Amino acid sequence: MAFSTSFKKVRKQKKVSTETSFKNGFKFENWLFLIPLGMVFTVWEIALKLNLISSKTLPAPSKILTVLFFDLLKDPVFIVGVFHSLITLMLGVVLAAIVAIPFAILTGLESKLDSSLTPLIMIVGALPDVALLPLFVYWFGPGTTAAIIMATVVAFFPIFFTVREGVKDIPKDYFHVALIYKARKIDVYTKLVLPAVLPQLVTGIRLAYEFLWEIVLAIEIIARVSGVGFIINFAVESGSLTYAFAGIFMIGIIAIIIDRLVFQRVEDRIRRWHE
Amino acid sequence: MIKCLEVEKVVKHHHQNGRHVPTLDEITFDVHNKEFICIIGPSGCGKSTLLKIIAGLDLPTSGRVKFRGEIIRGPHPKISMVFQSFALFPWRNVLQNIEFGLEMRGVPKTERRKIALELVELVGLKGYENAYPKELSGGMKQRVGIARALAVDPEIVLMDEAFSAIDEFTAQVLRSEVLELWEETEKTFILVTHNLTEALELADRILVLSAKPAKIKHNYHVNLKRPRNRTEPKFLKCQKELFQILKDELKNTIVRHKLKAIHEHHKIEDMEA
Repeated sequence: MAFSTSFKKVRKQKKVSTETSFKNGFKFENWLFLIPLGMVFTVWEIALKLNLISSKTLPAPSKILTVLFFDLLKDPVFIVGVFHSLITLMLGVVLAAIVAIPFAILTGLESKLDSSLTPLIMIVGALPDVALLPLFVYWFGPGTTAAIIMATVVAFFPIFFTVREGVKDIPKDYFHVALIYKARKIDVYTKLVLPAVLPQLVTGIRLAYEFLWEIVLAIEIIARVSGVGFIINFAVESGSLTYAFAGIFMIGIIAIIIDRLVFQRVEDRIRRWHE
Repeated sequence: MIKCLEVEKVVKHHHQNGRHVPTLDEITFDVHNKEFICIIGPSGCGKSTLLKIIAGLDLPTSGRVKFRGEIIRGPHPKISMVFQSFALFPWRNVLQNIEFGLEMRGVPKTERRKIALELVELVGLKGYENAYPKELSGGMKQRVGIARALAVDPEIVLMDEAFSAIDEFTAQVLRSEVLELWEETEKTFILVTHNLTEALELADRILVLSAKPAKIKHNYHVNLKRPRNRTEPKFLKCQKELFQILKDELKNTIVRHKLKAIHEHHKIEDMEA
């Protein structure tokens, strides 16, 4: 009995701590990275002040942030560009997930399909993404369509491979349970396979998301789409490094906010049941 | 006594490297209503395969299994199963896990919640209704497993090494509780185990299987009154008899099973000591 009461206590405490963090939506540890980041900025700023680095090579962070907050964020072209990139990225992830999940489940469950299909997917996935970009632009013409399709292709692989692994790792006995209680096929997918691979799906989407930030900017430059990538490229070409860096900072800020507010929360939720 | 399960000349071959490997060799036995049967045998002899065939998860190569005269061709709604690995869905809490079978059968939500709450109480998990499996100990997980199996009101509960993944102390408590459940619910229980003492504590009848290909080597009626005490002289006498039967079997095992057999032999000697 002593065991069970102490166990209950632990559970209660746990519940309280997750509840408060959910209510406030703020977890101290999630924002600890700001400390080393601030330190890097300080060193960077001092190095420039002491003329250890020329401001032509690297603009001061204070200058970059000033330009970002007092200039670029008031510029509708920049804001539209940021949203454009963000939407390209998200559409890429969502479309990739829609295509990758069924493929991953089928190959993960059917070993014959897996051994005939997966090697092909691996070969395509091993091709360098950036090298494929001009091809897509050639096929779909420069513009948003090419950018979204390319983003989808890039995001497909991490989602496919992580979810497929997840499906393969589902214990056989789970399926036996489903069989014993005569679960319908649809229930096996929606009430067993999908929830079982949810942790891997989130990991895959997160990987795809991180990949895509790198690739979307390149896509925009090559596909000549007016997103942040295009703006940064333009700024570098016209010699205003401060603006280019401000664009890069903007991406960093968005990336980290989405990571902390979306992914970390979803992962915390899953961690409530996932071992 | 009414027969509820008839296993008739069940043969099972497995494919291994393109060869047929016989696993079960003409297994025949009957199970009566409200009986507690234990199936015991050397590890790897095919005990679990036999249980899977009874559960309808696997088909025999030849022979058949009949439940109340009806040939088993797939899982039967009146037969449910408890797993060694617990096989609880980690994303479902205790209640939701218990409800799974009922949910698959289309039982309305309020009704299945009512049944699940009763079962939570029956298996002694009150207060843990909303806990996830990862928050439970092995013994508690298996209580959920048992509750899930009972929720669909089966006539036969199959247990595949149900106590083997639980620490011995907890397993002992759980065994006596399962016995109580068995007496209260008046269902038929079939437990596969490699633990002799466990079989003697629980079973009305112990089927001793031989090494691969498994045959029924012995049909051992346990003539011990319940509650049984594992330190009682009568109990120890039965234990010795059963050890002898199994030991002889192990000595007779074919060469390719020698290593496995030696392993098991040591286990038994450890238990004796």
